[in-house]
Amino acid sequence: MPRKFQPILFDGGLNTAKDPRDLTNQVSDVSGMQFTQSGIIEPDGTLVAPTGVTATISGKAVKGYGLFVFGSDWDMAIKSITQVWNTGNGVPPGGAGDARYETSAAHGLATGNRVFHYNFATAAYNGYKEIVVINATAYDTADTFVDNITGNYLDISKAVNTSNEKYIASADADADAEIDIMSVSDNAWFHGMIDVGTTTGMKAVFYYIDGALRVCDANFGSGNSRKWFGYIKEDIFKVGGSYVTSLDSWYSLDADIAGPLYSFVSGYLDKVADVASTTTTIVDTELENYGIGATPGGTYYAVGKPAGAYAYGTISSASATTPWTITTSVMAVEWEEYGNGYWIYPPAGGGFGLGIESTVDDGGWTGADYEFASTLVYIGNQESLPVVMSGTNTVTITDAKTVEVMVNTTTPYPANVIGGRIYYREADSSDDWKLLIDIDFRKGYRLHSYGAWTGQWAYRADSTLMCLVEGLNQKAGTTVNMTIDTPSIETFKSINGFTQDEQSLSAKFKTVTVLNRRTWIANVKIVNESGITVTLGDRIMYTPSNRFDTFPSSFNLDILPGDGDEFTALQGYNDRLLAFKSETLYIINVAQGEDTGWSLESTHPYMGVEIPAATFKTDIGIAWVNKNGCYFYDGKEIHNLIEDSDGNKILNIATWNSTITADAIIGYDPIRKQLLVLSDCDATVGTTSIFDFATKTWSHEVNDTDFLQYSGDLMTNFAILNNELIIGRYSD
Amino acid sequence: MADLIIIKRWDGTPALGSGDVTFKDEDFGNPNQIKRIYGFSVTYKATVKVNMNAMLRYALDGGTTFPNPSDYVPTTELPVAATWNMAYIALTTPVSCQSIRVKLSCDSQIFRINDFAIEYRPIHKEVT
Repeated sequence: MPRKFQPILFDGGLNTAKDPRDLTNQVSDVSGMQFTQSGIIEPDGTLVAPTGVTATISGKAVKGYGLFVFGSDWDMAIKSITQVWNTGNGVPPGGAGDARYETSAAHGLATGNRVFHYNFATAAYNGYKEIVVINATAYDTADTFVDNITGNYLDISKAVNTSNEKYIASADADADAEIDIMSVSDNAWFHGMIDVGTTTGMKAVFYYIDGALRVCDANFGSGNSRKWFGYIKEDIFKVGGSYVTSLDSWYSLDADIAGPLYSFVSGYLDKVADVASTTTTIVDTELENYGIGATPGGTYYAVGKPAGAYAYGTISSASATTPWTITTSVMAVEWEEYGNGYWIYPPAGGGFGLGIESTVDDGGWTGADYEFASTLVYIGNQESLPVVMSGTNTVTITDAKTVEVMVNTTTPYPANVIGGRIYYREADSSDDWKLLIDIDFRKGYRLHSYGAWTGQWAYRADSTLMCLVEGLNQKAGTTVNMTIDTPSIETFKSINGFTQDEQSLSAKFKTVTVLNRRTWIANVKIVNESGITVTLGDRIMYTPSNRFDTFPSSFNLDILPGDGDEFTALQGYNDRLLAFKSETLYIINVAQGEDTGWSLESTHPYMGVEIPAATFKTDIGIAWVNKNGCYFYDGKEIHNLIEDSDGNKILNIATWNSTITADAIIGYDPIRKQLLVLSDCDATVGTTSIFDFATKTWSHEVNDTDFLQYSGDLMTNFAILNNELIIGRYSD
Repeated sequence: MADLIIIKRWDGTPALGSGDVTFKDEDFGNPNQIKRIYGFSVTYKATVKVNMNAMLRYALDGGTTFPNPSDYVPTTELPVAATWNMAYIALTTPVSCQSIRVKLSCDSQIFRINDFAIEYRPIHKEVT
């Protein structure tokens, strides 16, 4: 017989499931090579530095966690500090003993601007700073001078509004529990821009929506809390014709929608001090306790009514017995000399002091004793739960009359607080709280949660002691209080969509995704109905639409609670929420706007995952990996990628099962449309496999020493930066 | 280096490195018959010369080990090829077998394979 050539076909990629003798167009083993174009075998890729990203960062990673990429319309400008002097070494600025930061050139900063210091060996110099004194090439942040060293500062105020600036967030899981941020365009890391807390071992999970990054420790470290990081540009507290406060900076803030700590109410628009008052003591014969107490929880203020000028004292203690006594710091004159009374202001950022009295004018109020509660409103119209206002609280309103209202508050607030609301109801009732006044730090107030804003802010004695008023009597130099003819019937629930009886709006979580303008979290740590902090592994929680930090206790889904399994990962795709437990996948149809229209669409045993990084969202669906296979959900069906279209295994399941561990992770290269599976993100055991969507082929054992070659090394989760797949590689 | 995090990007572009691929165990459609193997035809691209002896190994009759070097594979080199180049690798002595499985390896270069074929001839001898 003549000689023949037998073509060996290999376009089907790797097949380890069949005996090598039974293959047709596949290969029995491959290492370091791939099948990216049909009919061609070529070397696989490698790990390289992302385009323009070569800087490294000191930090401790936790395997499978801690990496995130986000974009912003705001940049960060890096500047150099050439030297740190004390005032003895040069000209001002800087008070005695203050560190004077000298810049390499005219800095363009202003008093009140915020900067972020980094790269200083002296830890106290690093972090967020507010400038208190400047000259053209130096500034003072009231730091105590330590030594003469150089560092850098990040000009985080008045950032340039740009287009899609990219940032990488990397968790440092040591006891500092911080998130480091890299500006990709600057190829520079800024250590500790988000201070999560103090507990080591943080497993940082992130989400980003509407211009802000949020991070939570999925390890529920007791000293760690949820954080919000973003740029805020807003002018607030307009007094006269100009705003007192300009927020124009990057901020790292608590993400919880917390209520006010120090709000109180009194049945008086102002109080008249007793004649026995002194320069340090206000004595009031009428019992009126603002909830300050003998040891105030914060710094309350007493402001004297004008006798030429406002003046204030800080309150060190208050009694709750007649005559009621407030002890203040020393005033220039005795309190009673002002003659016309005083106001109490709550501690800075602590809420509102409400004064309310009936007038003689006809109105629509129903005569009764009323009590009051207040809230804080955060960016995104996210309102805290109402907190009953302390102090007199119960106020008697005259039937068929109007009321006159005065609201005091002390600044600053956290930058993500944009206002608050005050509610009323009949005293000692369990009625719904109804809106008394809607307060906005920028716009003034209104008496409904809709419609035009009115009124304006004024301040007394100090620009931090704000008063919300109807208007100013320019001629008399006095303010005009707000008047409410008829109270609104809007309730807290009608405004927010959840009730005042929610146990909490706060939750920690192990996994998170954003889908259909809601944040979805699972495996949560919350305060339950009994006020006990519990971890609920079976619970999914979600926010109201467009309120991405608000997690009402009742906004939850329990799927097979008590089945001994817990949620480990969430992903969203095409109106479907993919909720992974360790063993089972649940697909929930959340296309409808309201939860009554949601339904559990399908349940998939043995398709669960162990960690969030074992799942990855692609442009064509969701991919995930576990010991039983590598799966892909295209919006309609689930495909096990280690099987062919007829259900025959492509890869040897016994080998797969023994290789894939609880720390397996997956990523997707959108350019080549390849999945990368890392069997374990710990250096000692990890191997890599590639699935190519174009050729539907597998190859494995990626030929790259950067993947897990050294004991002690580990990998973070995968992420996408500028359409490229990235990962963090940690060396101990 | 202590406690250091480096960001890496996956670049799927074929990179310099080592790799190998092991084809099916080929019995030429007739497992009961002995075949004589004369050589191999490969269409390839290579960024550096490839020693045939280092590149091609084989296992016979269902074997799972690939002797390095395998018997009768010449030590001559495949030339560098920027475009598809077809080469014939003739065994210095033909080998007889029931089946053959070929393993191709590359080292420190970018080596691409477009086609691979085995030249053989069935001989009138059944497998015993």
